[in-house]
Amino acid sequence: MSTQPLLTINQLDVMYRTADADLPVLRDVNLSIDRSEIVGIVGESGCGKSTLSSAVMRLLPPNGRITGGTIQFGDRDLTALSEGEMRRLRGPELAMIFQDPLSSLNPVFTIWTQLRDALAAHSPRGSFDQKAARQRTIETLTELGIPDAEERLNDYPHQFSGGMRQRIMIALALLLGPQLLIADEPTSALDATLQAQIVAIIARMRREREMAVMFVTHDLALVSQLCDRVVVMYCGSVVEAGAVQKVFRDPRHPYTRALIGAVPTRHQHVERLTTIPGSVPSLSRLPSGCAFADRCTQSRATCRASVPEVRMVDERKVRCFAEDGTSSYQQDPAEHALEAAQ
Amino acid sequence: MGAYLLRRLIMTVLVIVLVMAFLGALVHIIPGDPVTLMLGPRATPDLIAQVRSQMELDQPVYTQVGHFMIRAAQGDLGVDFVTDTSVMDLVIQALPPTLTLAALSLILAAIFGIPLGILSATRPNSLLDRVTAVFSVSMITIPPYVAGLLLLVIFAVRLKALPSIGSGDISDPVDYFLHLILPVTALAITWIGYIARLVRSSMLEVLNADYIRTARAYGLSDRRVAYKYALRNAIIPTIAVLGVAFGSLIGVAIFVEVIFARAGLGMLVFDAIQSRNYPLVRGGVLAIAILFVLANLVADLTYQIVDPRIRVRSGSSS
Amino acid sequence: MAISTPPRAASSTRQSRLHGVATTLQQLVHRPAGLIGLVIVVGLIILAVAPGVFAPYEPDAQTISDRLQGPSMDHLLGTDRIGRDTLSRLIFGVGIALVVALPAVLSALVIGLLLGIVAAWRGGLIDSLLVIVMDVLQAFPAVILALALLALLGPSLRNVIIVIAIAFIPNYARVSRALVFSAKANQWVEAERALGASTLRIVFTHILPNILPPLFILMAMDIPSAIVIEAGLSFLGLGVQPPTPSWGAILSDGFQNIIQSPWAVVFASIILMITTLGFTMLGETLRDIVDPRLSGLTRRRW
Repeated sequence: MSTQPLLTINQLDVMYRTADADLPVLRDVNLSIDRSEIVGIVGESGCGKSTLSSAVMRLLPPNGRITGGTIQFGDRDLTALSEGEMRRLRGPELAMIFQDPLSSLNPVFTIWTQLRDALAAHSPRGSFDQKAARQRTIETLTELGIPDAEERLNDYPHQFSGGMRQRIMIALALLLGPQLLIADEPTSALDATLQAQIVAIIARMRREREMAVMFVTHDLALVSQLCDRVVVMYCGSVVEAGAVQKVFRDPRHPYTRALIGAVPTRHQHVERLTTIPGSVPSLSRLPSGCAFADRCTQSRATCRASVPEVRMVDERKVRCFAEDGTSSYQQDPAEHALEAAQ
Repeated sequence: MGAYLLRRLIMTVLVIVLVMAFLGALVHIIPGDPVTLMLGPRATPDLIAQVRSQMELDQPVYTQVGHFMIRAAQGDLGVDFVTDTSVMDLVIQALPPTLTLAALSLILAAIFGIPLGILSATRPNSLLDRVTAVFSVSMITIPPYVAGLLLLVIFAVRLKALPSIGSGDISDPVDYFLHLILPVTALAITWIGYIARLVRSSMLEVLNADYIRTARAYGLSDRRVAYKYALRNAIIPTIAVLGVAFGSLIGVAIFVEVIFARAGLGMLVFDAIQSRNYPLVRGGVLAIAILFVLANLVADLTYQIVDPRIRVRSGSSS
Repeated sequence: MAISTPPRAASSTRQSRLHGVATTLQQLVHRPAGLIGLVIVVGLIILAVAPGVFAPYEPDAQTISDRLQGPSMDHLLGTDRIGRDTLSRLIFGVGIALVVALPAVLSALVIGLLLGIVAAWRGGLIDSLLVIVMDVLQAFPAVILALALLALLGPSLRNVIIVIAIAFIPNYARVSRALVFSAKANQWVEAERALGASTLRIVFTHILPNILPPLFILMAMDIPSAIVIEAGLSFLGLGVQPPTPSWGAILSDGFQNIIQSPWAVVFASIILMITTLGFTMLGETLRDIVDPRLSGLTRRRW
């Protein structure tokens, strides 16, 4: 088996065209996912993580475009494929599950119709074996914990509970045996118990089917539970990426540090929840340097002058002048009292 | 769903009953002497006396109205002033042509409007979409009588290609059909535009829905996505509108029946008003109102029947 | 029931309301549909107010020798069966159309509004009664209801205004009723009541300013319907009576002579369609600017 990563995203740029301006939603995104690896993509709302997953599937909205970079999947560059070629990959090679299973399943068709249509779409014309497909579907649904799967095939999505619906979505994803599963906030709409169940299912699937998973979420705790590596995004760029243990125990990027610091733990006694001061800059008015500079306790002149490159620091990738030893940064005078006091 | 259906049916029956009461009492509601209102100022004393007894106007109001309603429920709408024929017979006779007109117009409107709407939705903001939009909006602004008159001018008067008068010979299907073309088209035009716009906006809304994204995420082709999935969802409000359209078409049929000199419910009412034949006016209007109410009822119930979320009770929750 | 932001109170200054109107106008002309609609409507209003300025002839001036002519230098749009100039008649017809449609729709709004407020405020029996009565009126297609009433009232311009108003009242009553119900549920109203504000004060200062805008939009969408219905009734001979140059009457005359000279029918149809288009574009654009959610309430009605 080759040791090349399954998915390699290289310098990906994505732009949304709106009535007022063109918004650079993703800028210079680099990440890779190996077979059987679960990678978590975290960040605040609007940081571009959902756009990233849509971009990989080539399911961007009509006003979205990939303006640069490549997405290498196996030996193919997904950005160069035609829609027809891409359609053949969706399902059997890459599959995606979404946040809200109720709105993601068609309310006027039974679940069997929807599952069957997905399977039939990838069978060469005329050779679709409905009986076998039905059998496999029942098995998968049962495996995922849906009781009486055979009878329930004729039910409509609204007749299932939220947790069941998400399992149905996962079943849909698994039926075609993809190598990569992209999960876009699959547990955000579920309560804690259901969350745990879904996460357990994903972990199991990775073990049993050697499936790679791109797990997009804003929940850091989930990532530390489930993922091997984590990619932290801010404002359309990757700011830190590396093994989960490394990044969470010893975060290097000021944003990652702030994120982790903001998560309340059992061990701290806090009067107020920590927040990151300031707000995310609007994509139509991005600052010229590092996007996080205005909210960063370590920012200096260098940070506002240009965007930092991604460098390897302490076994993880970081995009930060302060952390990667950039000389110009070291020479700038300290801006913040906290810093100066150190 | 059963409880809602029952309630809706009861309400409908109540409305119909009250409509009968309203029409029965109309001559009393409007200020003026009932007989003069009905016959006009040039009625002779003999005629006045005759009508007064025929319509039971010597009796108290609630008796008259009550009698009218009870008889109407049994299918007796009285006799008309001019020919002494049973109003019910005249109405029954006039129903089929008008129903035919309305039904065919509806079918025509659906055949053209729905595909036009789908086409626009699958290619939003394209040239096709904009051109269709212009046509649709224009069609919506053409009232049925204008459409009828213009079609008459173009096809019957100038081109002399289609007949302009009457319903044709019913025993000759071709002739009958030729006589139907212009009136049916005239009625359908407004609705073609309206249905096209409606289907377009329903489809666009649906095409942006999450479940369509899911279908695409599993490699379903665009055609399948549009025609099978999106349409099925978008058709629900469209069917309801078709029901409403049917009722409305029955109401405006009067214009094309007058323009093309066709017999029908509208023509019946028109003639009756002209000849001050009040019982016939009342009977014809009642028939139209009942059909209108029933068409709207069917339209409302469409949601109940077609949308599984409402139709199918939630099964075991797990 | 969340505590929502307080509804706009009528204590907003006249200045801010004028400003609101000015911004709406600005947005309106920025959209092509809105601009075209506005131009057409303003043009029509000018024609309605000063027809004599634009019409080459008096609407009833006859030259029998020139009857049933097509377009010519003397008569740009031709003449009718007794030699009256079609262009002039159509121009004078604008005023007729508006003089029927505007009062009819306005009355329907005012009466419907009052009925809706009373019903929603009192609730209970009065409310149920209103709903039933409105249901009965809406059981008829608008034209048919108008016809039934005109059969007894007799055709005249005044009666046409009355019957169209009656046909349109139920929609305003329903919409105001629904809006008042939701306004009533607003916690600000509860708070005011708790402070002892009188019903009248609450209605005027809190409820009205919030329910009037959607009603005005409805009105804008109803005006073209009213114009079309009036023309239709006049076409059937049951509306405005000749010699008053209602477009419907012109169509009817033209229809009777359609074989000899179809021009009157064609030109009257064109101006009717332009008028409907203009008002509809204006109304729909206004609706999109003020509150796109209203699109469900505005249905074709004739």
